[in-house]
Amino acid sequence: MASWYKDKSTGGVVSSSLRGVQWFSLLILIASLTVGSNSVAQVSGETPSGETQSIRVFTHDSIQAGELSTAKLRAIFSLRKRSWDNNIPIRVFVLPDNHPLHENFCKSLLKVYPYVLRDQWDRAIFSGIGTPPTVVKNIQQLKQAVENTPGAIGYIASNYLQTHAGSPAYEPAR
Amino acid sequence: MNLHGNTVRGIRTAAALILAAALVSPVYAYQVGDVQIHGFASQAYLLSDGNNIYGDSQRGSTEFTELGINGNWQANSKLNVAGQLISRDAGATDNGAVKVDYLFADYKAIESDETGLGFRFGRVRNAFGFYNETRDILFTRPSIFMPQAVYFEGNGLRELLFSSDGVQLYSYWDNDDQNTYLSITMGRDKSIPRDVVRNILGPRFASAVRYARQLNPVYSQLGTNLNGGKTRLALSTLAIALEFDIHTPTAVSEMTLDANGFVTSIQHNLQQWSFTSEYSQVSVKYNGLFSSGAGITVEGLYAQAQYRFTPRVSAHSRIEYSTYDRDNRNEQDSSQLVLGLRWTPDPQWIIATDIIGVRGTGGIPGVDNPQGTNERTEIFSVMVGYRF
Repeated sequence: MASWYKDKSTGGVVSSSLRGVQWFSLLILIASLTVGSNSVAQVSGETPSGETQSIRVFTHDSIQAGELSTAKLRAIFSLRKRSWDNNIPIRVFVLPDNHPLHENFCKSLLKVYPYVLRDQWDRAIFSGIGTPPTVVKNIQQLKQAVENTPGAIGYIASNYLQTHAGSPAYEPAR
Repeated sequence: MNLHGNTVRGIRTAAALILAAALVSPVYAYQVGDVQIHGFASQAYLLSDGNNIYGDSQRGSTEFTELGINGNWQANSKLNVAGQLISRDAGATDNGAVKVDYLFADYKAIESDETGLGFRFGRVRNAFGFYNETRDILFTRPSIFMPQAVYFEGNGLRELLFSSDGVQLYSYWDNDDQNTYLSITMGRDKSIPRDVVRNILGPRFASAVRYARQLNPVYSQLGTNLNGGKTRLALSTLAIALEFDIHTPTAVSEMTLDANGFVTSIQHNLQQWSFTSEYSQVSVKYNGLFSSGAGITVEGLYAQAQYRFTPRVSAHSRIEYSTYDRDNRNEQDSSQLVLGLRWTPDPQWIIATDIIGVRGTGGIPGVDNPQGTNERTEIFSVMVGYRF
């Protein structure tokens, strides 16, 4: 059984106004830093198919994580924070980088570009400075892994629960 | 020579086996008990004009292969153990021998929601610039070749920068939109392998060196990530001393070389663009043999822009400038222009290609060009990488 902490509807469209900029021109690149930071600051939760999804973070029953702020979620998913308040080691479960739900999670809850998160993971994986997240193939596996692993944290689409769970046990705790 | 040939063939076979296994059963990691196992393999094809880079690349070279495998064990909430074996073949500069890249115990003494502090004991990677800790993995560096101006890729200093045998203190502080981190690495003295001495001093001079060691290396890095890593800033420092015992037919003497330097790093990440720039300055002082107290200042700078057409396909360009002697720029400087594409057809695979133009000899390995080097080099490179 799992507890739920976050429920955020997402929306908005990321601007692609930078597309016309000449990528090899250093001067224009520097100028575009100012332009660009405004145009992509908004977060989009849209999936490639265009439908919006709301995502929840969930943890194994052993964890009473309280409210997970963006800063705390980033510390956990960037592999800095290693244990819960009750000293159980944190185990991070995620979907493949190119899974729409993973992209959505990065943008709407972590507010981190997926490729930036991947860079952080790769630095941890290949220099040994953090315990790598476990990548599972699909939502079903992710749900099972989090439910069955003490200290686990993962994420899931709210509508997945509506169609697959149906049990009151999976209703959001807050 | 035979040994070298066999080693390389051995690596190729191993690489082929890993890749074949990966194709048959794709996984993101292997789990052995509580230990997570990850690895990587990459193979390049290089074609150049002007000078050789990693093998006889003027006729086409495949002598640039990287293989690695690592394990990570979370013993409990405070203790982690991690290690990585690596094999790298890079023309005459690296022979594919299997090395312990890192192997350490990581004890996290303090952890709260906002901060943490810990120590790593053993062989740790030195944090220096954005990329030194993971410079041998194609996925984690910005192009097929590391930015030469800051990371000393082709001239033998890379091995000195890798890792320290000692202790690394690390700490971080989080608040709403900022993560600040610090690491200080102190290594113990260790001997420098012969091939590294040869890469640094050249084969003729190196033959007179009986023994070489690195003394008291200290590295530090202070960095901050703003707005979920959209902006990254870092300042890294290094302080190392090298000592050479030199025996010539007429004399026995000692030469020391003190290197102190820093790198400033900045990166700005947008949805489609990433801009990265790093500047390094290392002052080197010699004592003994030729002169006492003489020194030079090595300086390097690069700026890179990357554009993502899609999450899987990106293009990048980079300009680099470096000089081995800041006070005599015109005689000792090099510049590079890099244009490249990266394609990640699957999260586990990457195909990269770079076209590089070099003016000067910065980053051109002397040992791959025993007949002497030319002022200009053009390089076409393709590299395929796999990871799990």
